[in-house]
Amino acid sequence: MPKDKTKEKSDLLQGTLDLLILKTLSLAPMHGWGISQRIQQMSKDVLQVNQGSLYPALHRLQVQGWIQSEWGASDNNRRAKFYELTASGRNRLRDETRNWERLSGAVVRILQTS
Amino acid sequence: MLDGLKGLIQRIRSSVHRRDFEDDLDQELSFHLQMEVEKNIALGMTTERARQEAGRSFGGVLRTKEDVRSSRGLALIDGLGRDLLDAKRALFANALGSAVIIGTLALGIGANTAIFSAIYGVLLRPLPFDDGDRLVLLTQSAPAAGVEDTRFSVAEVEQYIEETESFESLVEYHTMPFILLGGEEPVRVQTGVVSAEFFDVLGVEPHLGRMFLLGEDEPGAEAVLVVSYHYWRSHLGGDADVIGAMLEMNDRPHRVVGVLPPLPDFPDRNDVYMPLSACPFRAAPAFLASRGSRMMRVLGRLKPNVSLDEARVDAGLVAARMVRTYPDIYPTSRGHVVRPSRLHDELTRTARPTLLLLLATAGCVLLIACANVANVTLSRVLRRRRELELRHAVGASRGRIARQLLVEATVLAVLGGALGLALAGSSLGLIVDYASRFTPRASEIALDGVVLLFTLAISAVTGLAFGTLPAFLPRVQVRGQRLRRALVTAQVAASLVLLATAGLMLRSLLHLERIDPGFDSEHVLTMLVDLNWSKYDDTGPVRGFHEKLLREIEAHPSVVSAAISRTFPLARGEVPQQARFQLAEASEQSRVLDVHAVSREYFRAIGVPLVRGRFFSPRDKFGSPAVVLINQAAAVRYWPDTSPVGESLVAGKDSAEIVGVVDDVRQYRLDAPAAPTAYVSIEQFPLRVSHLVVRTRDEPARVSEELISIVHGIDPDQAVASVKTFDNVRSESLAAPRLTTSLLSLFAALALAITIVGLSGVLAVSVSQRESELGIRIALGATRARVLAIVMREALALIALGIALGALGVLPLRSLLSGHLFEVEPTDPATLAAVCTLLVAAAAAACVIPARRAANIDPITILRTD
Repeated sequence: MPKDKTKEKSDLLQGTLDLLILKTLSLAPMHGWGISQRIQQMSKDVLQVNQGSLYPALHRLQVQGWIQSEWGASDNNRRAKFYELTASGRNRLRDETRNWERLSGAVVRILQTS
Repeated sequence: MLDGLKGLIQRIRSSVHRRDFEDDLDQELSFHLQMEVEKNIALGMTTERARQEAGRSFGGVLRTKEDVRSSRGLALIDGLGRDLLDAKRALFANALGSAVIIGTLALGIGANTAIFSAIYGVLLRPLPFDDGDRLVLLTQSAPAAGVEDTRFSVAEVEQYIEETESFESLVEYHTMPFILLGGEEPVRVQTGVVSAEFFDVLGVEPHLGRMFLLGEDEPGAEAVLVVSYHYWRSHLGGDADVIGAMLEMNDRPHRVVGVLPPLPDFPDRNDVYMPLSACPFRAAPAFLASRGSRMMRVLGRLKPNVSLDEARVDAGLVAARMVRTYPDIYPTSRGHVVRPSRLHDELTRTARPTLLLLLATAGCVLLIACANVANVTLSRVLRRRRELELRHAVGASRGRIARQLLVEATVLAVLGGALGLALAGSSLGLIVDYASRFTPRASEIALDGVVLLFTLAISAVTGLAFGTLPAFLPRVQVRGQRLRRALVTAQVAASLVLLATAGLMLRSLLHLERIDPGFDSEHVLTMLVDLNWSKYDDTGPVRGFHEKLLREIEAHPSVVSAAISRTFPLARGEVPQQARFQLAEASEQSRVLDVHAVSREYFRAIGVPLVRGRFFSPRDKFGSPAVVLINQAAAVRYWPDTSPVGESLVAGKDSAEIVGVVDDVRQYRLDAPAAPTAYVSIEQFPLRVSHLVVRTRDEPARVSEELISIVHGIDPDQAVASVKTFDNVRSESLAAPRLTTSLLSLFAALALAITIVGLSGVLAVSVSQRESELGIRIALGATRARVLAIVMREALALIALGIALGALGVLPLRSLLSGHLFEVEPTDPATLAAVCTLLVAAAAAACVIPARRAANIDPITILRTD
């Protein structure tokens, strides 16, 4: 049942992945592949984004209205779909970042007390 | 809120611009893949390697797409649309298999829906009376004399009303034919004569107007009528202004005060109802005074909290009191018993065994259909194994595949169910007509909500359960074929049971068709000429009418002989009229005989031969010494060693000499032997008997119009009804068993056809699985005949096992069938042998296609492929 495992993992990462995508897009509009490369780079290859999770996440965020997309030309002049943050996406990023900081801070404190 | 709205708009937009969305997604994903490849090349891989690596890291494109779609919330609606599309493709790809499933389901569901509608309408639905469970019918019998239903006299009815305590009320009923005047032709109307509170006891609300009022059945009350729903619709225009209309009947006008709602025709199919006091026959003082003049029925409503058993004891005490008070009217030699029974049971008694037999048979057909659906599903799964594996490999989830099968099965079940419902709907008229031969509740049969629910349920079970579950058997590939063999074996077994049932019924019917009824039905015509009660109120006018009628009818050139009688053989709904005779006055020895009143030429008219003695002669007139004829059954039973001719039958002070013995006639049913019977002459005992029986020289239907005009020529106010030929009467008397047999044969034929299809399918898969083996055998020199034999052997093995199992299934049939069979044992070897032969022949037919395919295997192709 490989399928079920993947599902579990992506569920676990979903919130985090959304946050990472919003953060990446807050720097500049970007296409899907660029986002996955950027996250990998920024995390120094610790986080590998599986496009099986990436594209559903992108479309989900779009449905939520936090990002929007537009077809454009890539660096090597190919047609690519670029995503950018909307105003509500920016708000969402701010809230989510604050949440994340509070949560990770709490986790760190718990781990240190042991 | 705003976001949600945006999302919704997005969703709708993507749903509308579905194609754009899919193209977008394709492009986006292929761009991603391309970038991945380029990155890999930049890392130093060869193009080939880079592509593979990219593909691997990308994972399942299909699944990603699927996930994207579902993240957009399109999955459910959209997936369903796609599933339906896929299902359509899959079903068309295997059009034959789909047609087999839909057809099988339609037949199975149609048959069961039709039978269930009858079962529900007749047996299960509550009576259309208010609180119908407490309604009872009282029946008096004389068990020692073998009389099951003596009916009630007015004095008896009154005593039960007075002295029982278990009933809220008891009401009286009888039915009489009256003649309605005022129309173009006099019309015979069957009239229910009832207590004023009759409909209140039943709990019936009027469709129009009102029911009878208390006191309207008292002598001297105004003559009022309540009209039945069917008569109102068919004869009175179905208009509301019928209320208040005056109908001329008997010797006075009657005012219509109400119209009944549609009700079961119980106890009889009456056109109109009148209160007790309006019936001229019942009003006669002599009739009212005689405790022994019984023609009434009694219905009642149990008090709440009184059980049927308590009511039985209560009424029984009153009956016992009658016997003590009037020992001469209730002699111990006759016995006197009263028994209340539930109205519901009375209404459905004869229908129940037949309907249950049909339900069992239809259920059997449905099971065979289920086996076929499971079978075709399995073969579809087996055949599409590659497709399904491929789908799984490219990332379609297991659930997705399950859903695909479910959608396919649903489509089939819905189509099959709808078609089945259409079949049932179109046969509803036949079912109602059929059931009306067994029960007055037939008119209540309909395809209503409950029946539709039933159809839905069996469609779901047969279509969905049997259409999907087999696909999820563990190791379906290995076990599939084995399971299919088991299913076919079961089908053969069930078919055997159905074919045997149909075969036995058919044999029984043939016996009935061929039986000698004791009369010659060819060229005989009968019609009902009920005399007007108030016009012919004495024996003189009655005799006068009869004599004139017979004289003028016999004068008609096409008429051979004509007679008048109280009834005729195989008349529908006729009950025996029995009487008890002594051999001599005050003798202890007594014998019970059915009594028929007939005119002189009766036996010649219906073709009953004389065994000894003489027929009635013109000398046996009113006032001359009374004579009587008996039938052979009476002669054998009561005078086994001597000739009865010259002996006497004595009833009270009346005595009649037996002058002749006639042959036996199957009077009430073709499947019952003649009862001991006495025939009295209506010339000597003038009765208001009503059937005219005429033997004609040629086709009797041709002269019927002229005969009717002869009747009207004698008395223009005389109604004529029920004009039938004896051939029709005889054929009609077998209509119910004929229809039952037809239905059973139809079900058996369906079962056989479905089984042949199933068997053929299993063999086809078996041949294709063994293709290489058979090919090699052919290459090694096996003849085509040998290959055919291999296929045949497999078919026969399945059939033989099925027959063996089916034979076990025939055993329990014995009890279910015994009441339906005439002169055939439920284990009749000839029938069973014929059925087995038929099944083997069917197996051979099922082999034709797969065997031909096996024989045409090209060994070269097989060897090359392997």
